[in-house]
Amino acid sequence: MSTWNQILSAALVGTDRRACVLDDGAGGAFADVIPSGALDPAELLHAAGAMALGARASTGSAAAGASAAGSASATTTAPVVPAGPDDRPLIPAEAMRRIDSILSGTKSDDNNREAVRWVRVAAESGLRPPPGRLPALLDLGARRRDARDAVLELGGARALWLATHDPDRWTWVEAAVTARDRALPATESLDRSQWDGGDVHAKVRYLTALRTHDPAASRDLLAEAWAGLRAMELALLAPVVHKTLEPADEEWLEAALGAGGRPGAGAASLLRALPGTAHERRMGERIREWVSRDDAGVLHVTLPEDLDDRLRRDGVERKPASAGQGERAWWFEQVVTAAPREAWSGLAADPAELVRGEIEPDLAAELGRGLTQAAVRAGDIELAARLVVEPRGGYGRFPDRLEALARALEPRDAVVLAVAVLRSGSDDMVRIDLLLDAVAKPWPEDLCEAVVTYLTPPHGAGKSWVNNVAFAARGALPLSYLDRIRDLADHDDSFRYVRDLADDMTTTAGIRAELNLPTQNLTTQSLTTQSLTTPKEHQ
Amino acid sequence: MEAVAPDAKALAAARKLVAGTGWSNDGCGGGSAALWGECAGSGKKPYQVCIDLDEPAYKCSCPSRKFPCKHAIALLLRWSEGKVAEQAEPAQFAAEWLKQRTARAEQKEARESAPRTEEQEAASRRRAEARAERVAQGVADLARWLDDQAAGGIAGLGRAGYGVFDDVAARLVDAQAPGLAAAVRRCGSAASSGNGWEERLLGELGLLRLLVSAAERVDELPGPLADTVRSRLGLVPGSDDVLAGTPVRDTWDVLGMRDTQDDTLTARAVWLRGRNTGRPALVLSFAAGNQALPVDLVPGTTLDAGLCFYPGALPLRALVRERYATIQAEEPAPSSVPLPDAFDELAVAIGTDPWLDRYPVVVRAVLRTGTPWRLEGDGVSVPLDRLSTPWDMLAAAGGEACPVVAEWTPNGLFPLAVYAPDGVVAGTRKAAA
Repeated sequence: MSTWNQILSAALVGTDRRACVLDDGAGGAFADVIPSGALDPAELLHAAGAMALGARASTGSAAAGASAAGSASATTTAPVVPAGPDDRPLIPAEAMRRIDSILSGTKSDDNNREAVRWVRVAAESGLRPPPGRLPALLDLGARRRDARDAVLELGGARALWLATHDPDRWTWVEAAVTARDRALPATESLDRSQWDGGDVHAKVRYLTALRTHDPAASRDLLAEAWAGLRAMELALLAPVVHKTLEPADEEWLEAALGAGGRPGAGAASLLRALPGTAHERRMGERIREWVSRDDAGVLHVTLPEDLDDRLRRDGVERKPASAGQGERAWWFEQVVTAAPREAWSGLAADPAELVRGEIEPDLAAELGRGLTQAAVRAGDIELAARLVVEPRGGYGRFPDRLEALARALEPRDAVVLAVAVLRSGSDDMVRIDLLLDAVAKPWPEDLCEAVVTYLTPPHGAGKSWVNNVAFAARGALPLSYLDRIRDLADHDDSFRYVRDLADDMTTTAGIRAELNLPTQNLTTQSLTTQSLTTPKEHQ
Repeated sequence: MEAVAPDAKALAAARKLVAGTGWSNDGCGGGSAALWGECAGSGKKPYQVCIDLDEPAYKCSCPSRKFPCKHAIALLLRWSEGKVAEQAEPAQFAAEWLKQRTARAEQKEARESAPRTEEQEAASRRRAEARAERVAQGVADLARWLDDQAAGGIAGLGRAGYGVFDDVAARLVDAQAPGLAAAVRRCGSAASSGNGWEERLLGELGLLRLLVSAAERVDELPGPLADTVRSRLGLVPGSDDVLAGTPVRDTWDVLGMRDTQDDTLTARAVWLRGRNTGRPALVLSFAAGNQALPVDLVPGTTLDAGLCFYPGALPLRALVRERYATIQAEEPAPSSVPLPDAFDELAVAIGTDPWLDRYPVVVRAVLRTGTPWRLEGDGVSVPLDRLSTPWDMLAAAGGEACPVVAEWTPNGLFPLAVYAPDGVVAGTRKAAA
């Protein structure tokens, strides 16, 4: 037993019960201070203190028994792997002061939003932050999903290196990097084992490649496999199919309707995106069967008592998505959504007219929403815009449906629809800002012009959402509009959010100036690249 | 700097003022540790801000009830960024304020240094004797208690909790030996420190027993060691007596600082090292509650000053007596040594003051994360204190060997600053004592 352990075990039970008798010279380097023979309590403690001191002062080689935490020991582990170099220039100290002040403040929503805005602008600059700030920036990414791409861009290789040191604290980094790599072009490899044995992401890669290189083979594969796919796989594979949909897909999709459950519903949803299908014709027949117009111009709707097998097979859901709507009314809305425009030709020349007229029972809201979505489906955005602002059109009471509609829109269509609503002069029923939120930022010029016109007095009829629109415009209106917005705010101070928008844009201009980024006349080039990388579109 | 601000709002407001163009007539120095400037406000007349960094003391002509106000904080921030130029003479308003302060200080000093009557002298002698007696009694009691533990066994102390130690510590406070009381409380922490507590507790008890034995025959010890023992008991000379000693003039690098919080008292330790003497020095300051800590010694700066050291075998703690000038150092990083060399120096220091519990090292080393984190270099790996996880320094150093300023404690190192290629990153966060 080492001298230290002898002392320790005596101290634990007490010298009364176990005497500590050290051999001659047991003290080693401390022989001068540690007597040999039986130690009394004070001598025992003296010896312990001396040996503890020895451990503190040692660098490991001459370690006495005691292992004080402060002492050094020889390295045994693999060397630390350094982070690679980052050649980008540093962000100027002036610019860092702004983000330091935001990040050192409270973690309030306002502060978080400010921080996200800053990192997004800074990520454009091609500069790098002093690396000592990276932990705080990675933490921002942990708090705010919408900061993540920008934080990774800004932090560069050093941020990734740092995140590997505490994967528990910065789990999001690995997930975000995986997602980013997955967004890269799919591999060209058409190795069937990727589909059979791979995880869902391998399946996505394989299907993406197959849809491009051998569409016929992809249809065979889907016809065979679709019914057996799990929910997660359906959720990720359906968008791949949707992007490459062509008329030849109808056959396997029609067959897949019979699978029922989630695969059936997924097939129905894809069929709705394909014009001229038998599915669409069946929906049209239902409209002709259920809806009639009497001589007085009143629309009569006769709905089935029960959701029969054929309706279910075509993907009509039983339960409405929103509370406050009856089941049968919801069936009607789904059928209207999926029916072709021709189904209405015997009833009215312009479907918008139907929504304005009398309808028995009162299904105007369902009819309005269904027709709007059918118009979007058919690519008739002009009609969709007219329908969406119909006072009885049904989006007023269900803003969540409007959000869903907006999210499903192609970015280009979202702009057209938003512009149309802004200019319609009759937006009372529509939360226009929900449409605007669906448009990628920064906004294209025609939308910006429409928004500025909307925000310009006189306000009143047809401009019910000035504050909401001004709020939605934050971070979306290019800075070249700053002077005009500032004028509007100075001119009429009854709308708080117009003033806030002006302040917000001024702050952005300040941030850009500090980062040596241009503040005016952003090139269309930079606008396009940004809209392409806006996370909303990936979702 | 941030620690001075009364709240986050004032700090944010101050940051906005820093870059502004509203500043004029500003400067620092002028033969004192003063800062001054005029900041344009909403009124016609600019606000006049003065700061005495020594105290610290603030004065601003603005009506804000926050203290210090945003103008003062902004001026401090500007100064810390080197935006305030050294001036030979303070601006007139600053000179007046400083004159008032000096006058007040002189009055106070005059009151205190008035010759004491014989009666007062006798009373103070009696007080000192009474205290010495009580301390001796406390030391004897502690010796008995320690020996009782060794005789009866320390195995039970691991489960006993802090209560046992707190009782002993309270008796030592009554005996006017606060240093011993703190040491006993440290034993309590060691007893509750989890796996391996037995070895840590025995080490602490052993060192305390050595201190007690030394205290019992303090009059036989060589002078400097006797001073060390007295200071470890908590018998520290007054600052006037220390300042009356011979100052050590040198070019001092401000290496780093660490704040520790103990209930309501915040202690700030600033480590200095003399360029010529190579001597380390520790300047302590304390603030209760929300009081501001002094900010006159900024890590990363260098000053020409005369320091008076508290007596002891290894004099570390010091007071700044004269400050001659702030030096713009050519070499930003203080010179560093390999990790084993630093530990050789530490071993000598521990040999000189066996109860040493903090010491500065400046080493060239790499940070490694883990439980605990470690500082590594030249084949040696040293654990950090388990409360120390300096992520910002890790990020700044990027896994490369950099000059690292660290404070050694028996529980591990506390890195205070890393001199990374992109600049110095200094720790700021407070840790519990």
